[in-house]
Amino acid sequence: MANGGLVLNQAELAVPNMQLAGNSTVDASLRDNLRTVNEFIAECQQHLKQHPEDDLAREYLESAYQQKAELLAAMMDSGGSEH
Amino acid sequence: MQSRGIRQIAFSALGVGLLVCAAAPIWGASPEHQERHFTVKDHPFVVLQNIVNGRIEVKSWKNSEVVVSSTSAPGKVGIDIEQVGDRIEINANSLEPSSDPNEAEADFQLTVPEKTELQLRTQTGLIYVEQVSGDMKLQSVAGDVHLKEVSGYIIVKTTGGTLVCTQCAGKLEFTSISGNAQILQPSLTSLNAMTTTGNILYDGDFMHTGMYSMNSGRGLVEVRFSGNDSFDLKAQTLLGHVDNQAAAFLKPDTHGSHHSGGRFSHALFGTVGQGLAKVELSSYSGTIRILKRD
Repeated sequence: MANGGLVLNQAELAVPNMQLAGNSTVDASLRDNLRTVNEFIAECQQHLKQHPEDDLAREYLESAYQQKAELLAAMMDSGGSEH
Repeated sequence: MQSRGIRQIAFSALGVGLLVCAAAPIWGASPEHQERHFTVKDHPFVVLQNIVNGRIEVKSWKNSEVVVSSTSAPGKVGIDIEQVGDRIEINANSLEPSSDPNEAEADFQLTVPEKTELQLRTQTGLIYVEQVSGDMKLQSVAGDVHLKEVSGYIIVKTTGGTLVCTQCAGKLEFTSISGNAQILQPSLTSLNAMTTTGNILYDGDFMHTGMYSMNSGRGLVEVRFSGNDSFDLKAQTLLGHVDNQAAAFLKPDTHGSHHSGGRFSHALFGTVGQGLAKVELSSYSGTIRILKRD
């Protein structure tokens, strides 16, 4: 799961300078939601450092990784469609 | 002589039409409207990929025909429609990526047979589907999704858009990061709703043998059930709390199985009626509220 997080972080490095959907509303929504999911991932990771055997927190972290992966894919699709 | 006159009138009318069409992009104000009809034999499968902004509205009728009506900014949006058998595919793309992206907007109105499969995607703008029966996958970034009297295997994915599902039947899957979900008066046999920061509201009955899972990372998960309902409940939150406003209706575990909420979470287990359906609610740091409708 930690490796998955690293892969996602690497994928995220390509996003900051990318022109996304070319629409301010959509771009803002994508970036705001990426920030939201990153904050939630950090919160879950922090909790799991202290309580590594907490299954519910682990389920939420896995789900957040999945959402981040899908969001990054959508952002890259949006950026790719413009260029 | 008379036929020559008619030809001249027709030609003049065509000329005026062409002039109007040619002038429209210069005026930049009058939207371009087009309507196309597609005859289908059985249950159609309609795919709409709206890469630009815009609203998608789908309603049903008794005819074996799909009608696609669109309104878009002239010269800004390209709309391709293809029919292969009962599959109708619609693609809307921006023609001028460098122009003001807010101008690249296309609104669609689809009229479809009652039994139709749908796959709809848009960036912003509402997706509205009413009285359609069939499997559907609906995706939006910032737009909301409103469903009324739809049934089938329904998959809704949004980034920040909210789902309002009124009188939906069948199976529903909802995933979002910051979008809310409101499920009102449903007849669902299966529900799987997950949002990271949004709220989830379920107001309605639980079908016997149904499975219902509602999870929110930081939001509120609220369930309003009726006195006739029958379900086993598991509500679990890690850092939030469980607000049980239906303690009088929730019996302790009637099936005798051992429940564990985990060492780190606040959990509530109970049974309403005979416990025929299964309801699992969870939140990482939000509130879970359970109450009985009046």
